[in-house]
Amino acid sequence: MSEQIEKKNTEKNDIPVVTPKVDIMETESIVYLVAEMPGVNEKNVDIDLQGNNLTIRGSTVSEGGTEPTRSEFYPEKAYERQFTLGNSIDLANISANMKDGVLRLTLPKVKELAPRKIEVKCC
Amino acid sequence: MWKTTGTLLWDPWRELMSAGNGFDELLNGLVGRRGEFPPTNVWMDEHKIEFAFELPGMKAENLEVTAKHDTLTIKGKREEETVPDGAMFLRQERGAGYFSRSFSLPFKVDSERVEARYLNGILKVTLPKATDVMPKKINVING
Repeated sequence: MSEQIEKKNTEKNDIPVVTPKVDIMETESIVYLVAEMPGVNEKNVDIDLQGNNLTIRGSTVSEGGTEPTRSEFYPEKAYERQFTLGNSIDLANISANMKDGVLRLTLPKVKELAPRKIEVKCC
Repeated sequence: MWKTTGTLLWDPWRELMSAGNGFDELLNGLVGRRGEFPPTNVWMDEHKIEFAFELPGMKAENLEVTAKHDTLTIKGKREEETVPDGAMFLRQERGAGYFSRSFSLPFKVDSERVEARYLNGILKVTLPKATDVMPKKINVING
């Protein structure tokens, strides 16, 4: 059993890892990230956030499930890319959408605090 | 030599390396590899030939597949990403616009039975061999 697992991991590590092409756009309130991962469906994409480090990963290989997610003749491929987010991103409200092999991430910026006037009280 | 490998740790060289990849693409573009879009995988066996084109973010209705005589041509248009109002590009690596790519087929295909399917950003085209070029087993009659 342990041998089988080991073999499986080795096989998995042999899959070529490709850096996906991206577009990154920014407005005053939002950062948009668009990444190309042809052959990847919404089930095989993974978005990982650790601190300010955002990692996007995708695989053309089905991770379990009975339905094949890739063509018999499309090669196994993995995608991975890391980004460092600025402090102004609202990490709790990031949203993602995967369609036609394109991952679209919406990263809202933290709303800037309105300037606050501090009253100085005497005694 | 430089290979992007999967790692969980933040590595400042990664972005540098991927910037290098982009530069390679630019150089390749300058020496005339512009025609090599989309990236394509081709498989073949005794019954058929199959193509897988990497075309993320397309619409099936914007793809045109033609199989004529011994040539397969794919044409299409990828629309530009919708840019939100007032947005500024920080990075733009993806392309948009028209493309066309043709392939010579190694045998005559049955154009009536050619299948094209677009799924998860991959266009798959399967072209069965024409029946008149398929190997035919001939029964030997005794007597």
